[in-house]
This record gives sequence, structure tokens and C-alpha cells, in this order.
Amino acid sequence: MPTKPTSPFSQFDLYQALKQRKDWAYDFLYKELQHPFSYWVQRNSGTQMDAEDAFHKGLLNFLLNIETGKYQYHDNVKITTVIFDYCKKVWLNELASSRFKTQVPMPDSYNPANDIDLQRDLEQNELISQVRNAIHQLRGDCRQLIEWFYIDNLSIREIAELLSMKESSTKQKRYDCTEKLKHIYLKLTQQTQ
Amino acid sequence: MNSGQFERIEAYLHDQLSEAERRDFESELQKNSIFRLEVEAQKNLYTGFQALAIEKKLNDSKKRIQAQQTAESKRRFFVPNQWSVWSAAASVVVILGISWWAVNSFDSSKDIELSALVDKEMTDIQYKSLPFESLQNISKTAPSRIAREKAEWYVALVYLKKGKAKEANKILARIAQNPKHHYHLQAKRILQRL
Repeated sequence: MPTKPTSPFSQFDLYQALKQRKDWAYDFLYKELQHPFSYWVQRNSGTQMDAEDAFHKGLLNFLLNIETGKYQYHDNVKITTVIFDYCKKVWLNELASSRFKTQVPMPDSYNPANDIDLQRDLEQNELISQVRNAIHQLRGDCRQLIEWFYIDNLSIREIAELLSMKESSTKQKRYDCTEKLKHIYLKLTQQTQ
Repeated sequence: MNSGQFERIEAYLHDQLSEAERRDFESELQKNSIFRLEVEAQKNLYTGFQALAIEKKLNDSKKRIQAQQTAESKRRFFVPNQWSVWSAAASVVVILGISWWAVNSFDSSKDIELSALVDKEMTDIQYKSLPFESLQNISKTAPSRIAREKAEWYVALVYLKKGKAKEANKILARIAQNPKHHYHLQAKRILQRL
């Protein structure tokens, strides 16, 4: 179960917790924003499924921006408001895309195509999808090791125990598997260029 | 690339090199294009890993919240107690009260139509949920013009909703007279219906 802070938390606490991927902070965002955002999308030419997709995409990109330092903490700024606005922009971008352009009018004067930051963030989705595909092409232990080490953040010692290997061999295997993955990834990016 | 180079790149990307090591690394980056490509590929992989780790956490969180909500709704459905009976009775009283108020506030079909129109215009849930005083404040002090105009528009809509046509009219007329106002056309449209 996520460990929630015992007293009311500040915006800075929330920012730090999101940066450290604390469960309670992620849960808080879902509880606070999912329904209002879904309501807003459905009032703006979308379905509940569209709302879920845009919310997920928006949250993922925004949280990545927090971790990489692209989004910095500001005093007196409510993080949920910033995230809500960010997810709105993601949906407006979807509306402006070719899938919807001919069907529905834009509900706001905001033009997502001119929002360079947003477009750059959304371009990252392509990179994420290529890395995901590359991992899927890895086989057996290698794929498992990569997921344990880089996604589940297990230590080399923990992975060595799980694979019944020596720590030194696991360390070497981590290097070999990451190299394999890099080759697959580069091949995939060359195919799409 | 050998494992030593791999670890050096990793240390650079995780900001774990000393000042001198970092300078050497960056100087090599500038001179050596193959090395630059290696670093770029490794950097992209780490960004991907980071995003996939966040995504996994997000999916876990979504499942937790859904499970909580399902449990909550089951509990509400299967355990009727005196409190829920009383709250149901209270809801009926509140609904009757609201209906009485609605009938008295909008005593003609035109008013009801207007109320529906106001609801339709209030598409921004954040502005809609702001206290009236905050809206008034934003309409005067927000740094961006669009935020001020949007808040001003919502102030007029709230006045309409409260049945204060005179106050609403005054603001709507001001907005309608200003062709540069973001809600100029909407205000005109509502004024025609008033």
C-alpha cells in the first residue's frame, strides 16, 4: 500500500514525491484529476476512452519532464492545475490532428501546432515506443534483466539472486544485454527514417 | 564499445563524473562523431527506460484507484444502513428545494432555455468550479489577457445563472461591444436571447 504523508502536504512535497515516483503521489493525481479531465474531454468532442488516452499521455510526458528537470517547481503554483492544463493541451492537439480535424471544431483559440514545447514532448512518444519495441525483441533472460534493472530498478545483487548467477557475471550480462538492445534500437530507428 | 566505455557514458548521463572527467568527456564528444552517436543512442535508451518505468507506475496506480472505487461502490450498494436511508431522504428534500428554487428563479420557458445555454457555455471545469470572488479577481488582475477575458465571461454567466440579469447584461454588453474580446460573439449571441 502507498505510504501517504500523515499531515496535509505542500505543493513542494507533492513535486518531490512525483520526482521520486512515490505511489501516494501518483494515486493522488489519479484521484484528483481523472474524473474532471474526463468530464472536460467529453464536453469537448471526445469520448471517455479519448479522455483516458489523453490523460495517460499527458501524465506520462509531464512526469518525465519533472524527472528530467524540464519542469521545475514554482512557488504558488498548483501542480494539479498545471497538469490539468497540460493534459488539455494534449487533447486539443489530438483534436487538431488529421483524425479529428474534419469532424469537430476546436473549442479554444489555443493552437497546439504552435506550441513547440508540447510538440517536442509528444515527439518523445515515438522514442518511447521504439525503446519498448526494441525490448520486446530481446529474448529470455536478457529481456527480463533489462526490465528488472532499468524499469523495476532492482539492484545487480537482487537480479543475481533471481537469476542464480554471480554478481560479476550479472554485471557483465547487463552490459551485454544493453548493447544488444542498443543495436536493435538503432536498427529500428534506421528503418523508420 | 567495451564495458569500460559503456560505464563511462552511463556515468556521464547520470551526472556521476568528476569535473575533470566531464571536461574530457565533453571534449571527446566534440571531436569524435562516432562517440557522439554512441552517447546519443545510450541517452535515448535511458529516456525510454525512464518513461517505461513511469508508465508502469502509472498503470499500477490506475489499477489501485479502480480497485478502491469498485470496492467503495460495492460497499455502498450492499450495505444499506440508517445513514444511507437518511441521506436518501435528505437528497429528496434537497432536490425538492432546488426544484422550487429553479421554478421560482426561472419562471418562464425562456429562462429555462437560457439556463441550459449558460450550462452549455460553461465548458471549462476549472473556471466553472472557481468561487465567484476568485473569478471577479482573475477578471481584473490576471497577467494574461485571455485569462482576464475568460474570467469576465464566466462572471457574466454566473450572474445569469443566479438570475441577476441586470448585472449580467452590463458585463455582456461590455464584452459584445469589444470586437477584440475573446468571447465577443458568444456574448452577442446570449444578449440576443435575453
